[in-house]
Amino acid sequence: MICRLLRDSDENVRKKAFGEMVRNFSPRIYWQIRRLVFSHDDANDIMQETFIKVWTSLSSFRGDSSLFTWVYRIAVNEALTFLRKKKNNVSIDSPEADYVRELPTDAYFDGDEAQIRFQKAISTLPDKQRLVFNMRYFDEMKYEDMSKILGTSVGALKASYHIAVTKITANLSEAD
Amino acid sequence: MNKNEDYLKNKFGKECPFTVPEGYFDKLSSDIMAKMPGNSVPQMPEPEANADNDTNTQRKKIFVKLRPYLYLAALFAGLYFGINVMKYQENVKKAQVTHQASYDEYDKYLDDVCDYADISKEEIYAYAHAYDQDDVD
Repeated sequence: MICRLLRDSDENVRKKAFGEMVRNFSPRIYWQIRRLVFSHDDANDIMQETFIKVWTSLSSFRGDSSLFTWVYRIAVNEALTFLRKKKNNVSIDSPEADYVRELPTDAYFDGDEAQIRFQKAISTLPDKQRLVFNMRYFDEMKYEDMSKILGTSVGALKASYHIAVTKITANLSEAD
Repeated sequence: MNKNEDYLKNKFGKECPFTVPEGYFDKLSSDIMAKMPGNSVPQMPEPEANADNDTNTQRKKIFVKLRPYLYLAALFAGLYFGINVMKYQENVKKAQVTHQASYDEYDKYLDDVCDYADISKEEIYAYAHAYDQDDVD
């Protein structure tokens, strides 16, 4: 329905459809980005960048995936690019990511000590593996859907998730 | 897996410990629209204009993907029938050889009988015919 409206020749119709798309898609996409970057401000910036990219790339959307999958894929790539740039800027004196250390004092974090430990353990995973873990564990996404978004085989995703769960459990057991 | 996964679910659950400012998602759409470059929303292309959505092109793509498997299937079918035809011809030849071999053995047997009994084959055949006639009579 949104796709049909985004093809309409009337500018106003397309504008309304774009706004509708942002309203429908943003909660699910936001929480995926937020779990990756932890900070609300960073997640908000990435959401803006994502939809700017969607806006400018609309005329090249080929329809070989659903509109949501396409937008989700752009958001994930923006988040991973953000994390890569942030890692390059982390000083040698603070090897632990700032965003994890700041969690206890973050105004938009509502978890207890156990949740802080859990998030710290998740943050030790490589970014792409963390993404797979979040998509499967928190969103309960099917591997087939993850495969369409990430362009990785179902088998590789299952293996990655299994390893992620094992690493996180081992990390938490050491701390206990 | 699920021992480790169950451990995590039981100990930490799946609730999201992160929050957002009040009304964030209500305002998000208008905030994003205000930041979009230019005034005009680009138009998404029609799917019919895209060659990838063309049915014939899709059928052709499917055929191209299946072609190696079709070739393999034809090869194995050809081999199977070829082997069966060769086997049939071999069986026919064997049957002919066997028949000839039986006839040759019988002929040799008769030769030996003739030598032993000091009679000719024609006498044996005449005797056999008369014996048959006696049975009929």
